[in-house]
Amino acid sequence: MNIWEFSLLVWVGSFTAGLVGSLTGLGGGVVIVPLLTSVFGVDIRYAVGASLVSVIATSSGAACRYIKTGYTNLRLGMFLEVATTIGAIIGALIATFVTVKALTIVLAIVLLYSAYLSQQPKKEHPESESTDSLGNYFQLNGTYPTGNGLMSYQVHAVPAGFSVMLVAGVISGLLGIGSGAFKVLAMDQIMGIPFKVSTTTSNFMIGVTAAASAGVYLARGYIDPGLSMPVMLGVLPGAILGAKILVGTKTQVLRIIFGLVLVVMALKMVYNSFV
Amino acid sequence: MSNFDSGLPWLASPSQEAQIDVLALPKEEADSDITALEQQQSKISSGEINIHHNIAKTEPELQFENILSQLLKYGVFIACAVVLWGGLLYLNIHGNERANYQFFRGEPDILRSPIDVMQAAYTGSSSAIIQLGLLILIATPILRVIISLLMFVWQKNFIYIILNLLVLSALFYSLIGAYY
Repeated sequence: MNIWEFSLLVWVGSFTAGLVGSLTGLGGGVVIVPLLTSVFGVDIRYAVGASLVSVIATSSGAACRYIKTGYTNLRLGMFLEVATTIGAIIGALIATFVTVKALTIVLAIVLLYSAYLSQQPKKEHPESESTDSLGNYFQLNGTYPTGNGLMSYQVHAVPAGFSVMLVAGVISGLLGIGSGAFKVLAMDQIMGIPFKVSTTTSNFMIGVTAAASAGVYLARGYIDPGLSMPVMLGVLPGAILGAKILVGTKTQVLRIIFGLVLVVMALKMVYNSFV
Repeated sequence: MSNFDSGLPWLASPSQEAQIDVLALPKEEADSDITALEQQQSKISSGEINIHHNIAKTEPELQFENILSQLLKYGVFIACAVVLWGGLLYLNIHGNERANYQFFRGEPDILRSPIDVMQAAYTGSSSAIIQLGLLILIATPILRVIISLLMFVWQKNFIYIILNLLVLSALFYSLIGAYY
């Protein structure tokens, strides 16, 4: 396969990954690495580098729209970025030491977990009046738009949320994915933040988190221009298109299919690494 | 402020009086409360102010969000344009060579550090131009942190000055420290 054909196929694959990732809310990054390694036979280190770059593009591209909608909690994002950036550097440094086999297994687990999360129903949290002293100290409480005006919400369990963010950062740095699923888990499930605020704030943080590990990857020679180019130029328009058609579409069937694809990819990756 | 109050009966809380003050000041005196009324109504209809909850984002906060939003948009746009330009050059030169990503060799040294990439891109190397676009992309969120830091310095919000400094030093460690 020559570089023209290879680039074109990777572009089509990345575009699809960006589209489906955005439609299901899991992000394209989580599919890019298994797609490049198991379908295109790319070494996982190049795949991780290219995926990381595309993650920054989609995060920044979507964040510029999300910020304007008023859901993104900028202060909460900046506070939690302390955890994710430090985690991301740790993750990227670990990635340069561990074996490819270990990386593959961690990625397979993350894929299975993301597949599981994608099947969970989304619920909005009822407004609660109880306050958290750390949340108040760091000015994390915010408001978000609803059908009848702005609603306020309180942030809970700040230390626990911060710790899960550290883990999300390590995973992001280790595997070159946005690890949006873990970020949403920390904010939505642990800190009791409304779902739309969690997803948009998570997206806002992903760019900085990925930039933190991108420096390490660049220095280690993981970021290949010839591979990153079609991946980035494919995922970004795919994600933008997905965000545009998301409004008003039913994604339940798509979620199930996407979940199955993730499971199959995870199993194939583990199988490949032991054969 | 009393003349605004008579025209805008729903303005009960002090925080929203302050909001009107900010909005009305730059306007001419003669039609100030009419424009303020219009702005207030448009804000209510767009959901930015809720009269039942008495919560509103301040004008500087909205401006700040707008600056960050624009920065991210143009950062990604410029990065994509540079990557596309380098990509077309790259495909033109190397398009018929064999694609080989099965085995990890690592990138050559000139594609590994920001300064080397800039120098190589200046000489017209297509791979280095793509890499430069990727660097612009990586720089976009970093620039966002720098602008946020300046914003919090201006607001004298010391907690967030320290938090943003922590994030920024982590980012610089990653981009510079990783080479040593």
